[in-house]
Amino acid sequence: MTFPEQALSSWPVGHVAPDHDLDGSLIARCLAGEEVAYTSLYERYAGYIYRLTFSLLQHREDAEEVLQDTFEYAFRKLDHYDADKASFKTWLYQIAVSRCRNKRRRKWLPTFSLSHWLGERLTDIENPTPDEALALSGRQRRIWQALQTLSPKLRETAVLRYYEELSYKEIGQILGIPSKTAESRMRLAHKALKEVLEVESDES
Amino acid sequence: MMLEHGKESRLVPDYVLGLLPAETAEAVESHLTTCERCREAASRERLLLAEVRQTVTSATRPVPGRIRRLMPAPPARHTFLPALNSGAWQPLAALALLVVLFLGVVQRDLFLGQPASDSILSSPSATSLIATATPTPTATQATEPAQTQTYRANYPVLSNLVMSPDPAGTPLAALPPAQLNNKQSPSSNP
Repeated sequence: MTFPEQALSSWPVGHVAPDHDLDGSLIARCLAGEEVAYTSLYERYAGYIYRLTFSLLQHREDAEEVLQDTFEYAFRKLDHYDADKASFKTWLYQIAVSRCRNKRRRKWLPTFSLSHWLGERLTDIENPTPDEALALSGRQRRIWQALQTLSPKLRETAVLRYYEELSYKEIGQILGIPSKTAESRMRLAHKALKEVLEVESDES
Repeated sequence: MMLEHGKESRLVPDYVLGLLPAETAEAVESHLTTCERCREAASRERLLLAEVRQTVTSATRPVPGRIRRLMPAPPARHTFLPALNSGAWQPLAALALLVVLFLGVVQRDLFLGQPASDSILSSPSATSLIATATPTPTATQATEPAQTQTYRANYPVLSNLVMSPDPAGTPLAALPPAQLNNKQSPSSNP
């Protein structure tokens, strides 16, 4: 199994410490003009960024677009990256979250007003391909839909904590908020998620 | 640190999410070893976390090969001006701007005929450049009022462009501002 396939198939359940030495070496080679180094850097982190953006936006095409935007910006501004301030993965996540916010703002009207008020959930999961439909159980579909009910701010914190298991300090760094704010958002997100799932299980 | 059971049971979700201070987390952990009800609550919380993770893993699985095709092209490298590949282009741009501004001032001095004493070009070579651009006074101009002659001396090129050779028909545009008020349209006079 090649590296990118490995990265994409095995979502890191626990927090994977970034390899600063390898990142630093790849970045130096990129800045020296080595195109292969860009490919290695992309393949190392594309899977993480894609899952993050898909979790936040819950729309495959938007997630792919933001994935491209993130790496296009990161490649262009690679000489501005400061390893003393944050790990490369954290820096990438900061860019990705910012791009996701921009994407949501541009799509605010059609996705917030009509779909939200009518109680419709316009995501890929509502109209999955046959392969995708088999991938999610009934419980998982309810959980995925419950995540949609979270506000963008709560969903960002929940995604970074639930899936990446990042510390609240790291979450705060990525989202640009104090760690205490990240903690309170996580508390609210978890409580809201449980309430939605309990209501749905009572109805079913 | 000993906590009451009710308080500890409320702290179980925060404990599982890692939201408790170290001392409080230790107290909850100690309580879990003795309270089956709270242990079950903690298990349910951990199960929910695992379900959420697994849900996202399944829901965000990419189309095989798709991610690799989405890689953007690396930024172009400038071979003509290597300085643009680094951060050195900014001081170069600032230097270029200064050169353009300097040349603009020189051009203004040459073609608008600034007084030599006010010009930044005070060197003899610069003065000779101004002299060659300045036409020599004609006989008609020698009969003009002193103020007009002073204007011509200070702004030789501009005055020849805007002023009539007839001193009596001097256009308003050529007069100093102090005289403009006396030369306003007839309708403004009582």
